[in-house]
Amino acid sequence: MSNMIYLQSSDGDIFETDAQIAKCSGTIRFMLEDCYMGEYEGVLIPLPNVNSAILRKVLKWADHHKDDPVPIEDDGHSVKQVSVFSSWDAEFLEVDQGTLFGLVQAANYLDIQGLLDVTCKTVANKISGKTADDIRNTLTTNQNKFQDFI
Amino acid sequence: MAKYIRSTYARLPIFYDDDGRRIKTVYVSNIRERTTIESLENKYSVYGPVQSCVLKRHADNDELYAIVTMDYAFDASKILRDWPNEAKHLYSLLPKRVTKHLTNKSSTYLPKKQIIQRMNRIEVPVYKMHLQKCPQPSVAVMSQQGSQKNEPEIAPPVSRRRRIVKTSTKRMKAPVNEVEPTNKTQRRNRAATPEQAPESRSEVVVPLAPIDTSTNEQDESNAFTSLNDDCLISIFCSCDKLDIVNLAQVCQRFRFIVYNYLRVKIAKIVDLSKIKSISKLTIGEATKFLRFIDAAKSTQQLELIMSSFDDCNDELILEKTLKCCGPNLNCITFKGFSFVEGFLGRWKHLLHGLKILVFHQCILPANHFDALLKFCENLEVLTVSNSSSINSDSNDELKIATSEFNCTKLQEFRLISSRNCSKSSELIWLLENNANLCVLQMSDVGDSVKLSGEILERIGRYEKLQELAISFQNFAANVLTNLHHLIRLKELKSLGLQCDWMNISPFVKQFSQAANKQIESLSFDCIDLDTSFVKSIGRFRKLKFLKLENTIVNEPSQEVFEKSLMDLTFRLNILSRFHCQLHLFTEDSLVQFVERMRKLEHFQISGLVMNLLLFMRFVTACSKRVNGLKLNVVIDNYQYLNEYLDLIRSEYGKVIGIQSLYD
Repeated sequence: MSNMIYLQSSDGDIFETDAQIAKCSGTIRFMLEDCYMGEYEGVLIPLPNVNSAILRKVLKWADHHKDDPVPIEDDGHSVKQVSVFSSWDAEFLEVDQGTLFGLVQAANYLDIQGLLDVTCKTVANKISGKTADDIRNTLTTNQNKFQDFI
Repeated sequence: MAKYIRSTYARLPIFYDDDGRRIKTVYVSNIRERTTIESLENKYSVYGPVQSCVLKRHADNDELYAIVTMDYAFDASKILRDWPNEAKHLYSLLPKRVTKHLTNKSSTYLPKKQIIQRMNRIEVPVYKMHLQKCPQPSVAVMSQQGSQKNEPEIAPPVSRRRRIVKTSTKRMKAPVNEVEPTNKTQRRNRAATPEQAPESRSEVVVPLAPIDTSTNEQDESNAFTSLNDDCLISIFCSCDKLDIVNLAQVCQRFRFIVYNYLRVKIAKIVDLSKIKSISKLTIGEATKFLRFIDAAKSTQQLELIMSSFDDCNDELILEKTLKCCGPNLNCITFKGFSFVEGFLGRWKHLLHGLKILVFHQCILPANHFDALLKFCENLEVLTVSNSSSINSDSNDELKIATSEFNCTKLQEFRLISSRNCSKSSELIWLLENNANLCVLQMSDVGDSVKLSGEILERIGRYEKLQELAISFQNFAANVLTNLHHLIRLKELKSLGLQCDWMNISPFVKQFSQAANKQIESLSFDCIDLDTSFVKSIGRFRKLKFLKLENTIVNEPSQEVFEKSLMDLTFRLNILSRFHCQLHLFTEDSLVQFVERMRKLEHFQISGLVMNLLLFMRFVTACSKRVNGLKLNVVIDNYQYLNEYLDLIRSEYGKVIGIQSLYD
């Protein structure tokens, strides 16, 4: 018996995926276990905040990390430092900034801690050691956009 | 542009054109030459009244086709259902090149001018709209044609098999400059919920518009600012703390986030060694950071580590960083600094409120302890470890004015491996005036401090003492006889004694017989072992940690001694950590011992010069245990080390993780 569920991106595309893989997302896990009471064979979950391109990447990441040990819940007050970056992750995150930020947002929305950690760390590395001006230049191609805020 | 909408009552799709009218017209292809208008009308009147029927020929390939208009859109849908190959709704005919043109730019914005123009026409006060931001209709939406052609990679069989239908923004496009005035309303249709009547649709857009305009200030290239606050906070949290200072200057929104969510979080506990991960910290950066987080008001814990600084000027670093701190500070850790004379005196106002003070690997000035006891009135935890002092004249005990000392609230006092840091009189004063001590650790304190029977007697009076570790290096003759004072410590949970080869068996026996059953950890260094000692240890039923180092077995009969050791395996049921030396055991008893100690998690054995065969037996016994065992083997004989390791790896590499630590 397969345990497939279907995810619908904001573009309306349907992705078929294993429930176990999708469960790395806290949001989806919550929906499956609480809303469908564990009987989630073949359900369709709409994800209106994630578009197809990003969802495809997220699923790729989740598939690669499906065997990872469940992270231990820490007490939360310490800022977690992800020092170990697998080479696969590094390669996976060699994308343009739009996609990267899309992944951050998706990881946040879907509540995937591991993905959130690595993506945030990647963005943080881009910011690291830069002055405010440099950060503005790095994060946007259009200076004026930030000028609005200053 | 048309939509395929699942109508709830009839389970048949109804098509709408872009003005919101129901489409009643059907395009029929694949018509035979003989067909007449009458025969067509006859054919389709089965479904309902036919309004009109036109028969035409394609200009390019001369094929016949018909445009059939029904009276009711519902009937048109029925035709589409029953003749899927021949009949198509009219919008499938719309020119493809326009659709393609739009497809490529589906995610970008339409030119502003065009949008405004369009909006003006329909008189909705909206400036910009974003395709992606439009809410999806709650009912699945589908464009009927060509779905498998354009997107083969998105698991098409699934959508076909299931009742789910696909939609794609790409094909939601309408022609821009063709026949009908479709484009001006195309967006409205997307936003509207399908169940609504066509007439009401334009009104639906209006409340949505403000939401869209706010997020659409930026364009795609500026996705960073379009992230929500949650995401930004996650990103900022993974940044170096020093970078947060810069981030706060980027724009108002960042500043708002940093000041409201992050600053309080990072300001309370400041570890200056961790605010920058790449290179070393300069003093300027450190002070900038401390000012940024407003350390004078908000910082409670400060950790200063010399090696994290770029600069080597101890005094300057201490001066500059401490200047940024205020009276709310209650914990400072110094690591690796060398203090100048009278330094603490300058920071009296900080020391006054201090509760925890830690010196690690520091060089302390001569009168350091003196100053500490004077100024740190509220100190509760004082740790001096691995430090040393510029040697002071140890004979000037008389000069110390103990009346000036104020430090009486100490709960934890640790003086570890710090020679010459304090004078004997200071320590005695400290011990005499701090009755609330819970933790007392004095080991390797150097020659300047002499342990005497009086000190032990003093220690015996600490009713709340839970942890005690003292070493006897420079001790008076009456220490041994005064050990019994320690028996009075009812709350004691952990005891560590370094005894310089004294025979303390009588004391341990007394100690174990007294009503002292709280002991969880025992650690003995440099002792004589005999059978009565081992038997006494067996009485501490709550023992979890036992450490016997540098022991000499002082027992004539090895067998008797071994028997007493084996008895331990029955008595110490919850022992989880055990450090010992090999010569306590014979070959067989070691294996047996490990097998019997079921709860053991951490076993350290040193002085291991055994033959390989025994070693293998030993490791086998360890690896068979139900509960895992962390085995530390301290091998003195380095020439066998690699042999051992290779052997273990080849045999048990899969079962146990092996770490070899070379000195």
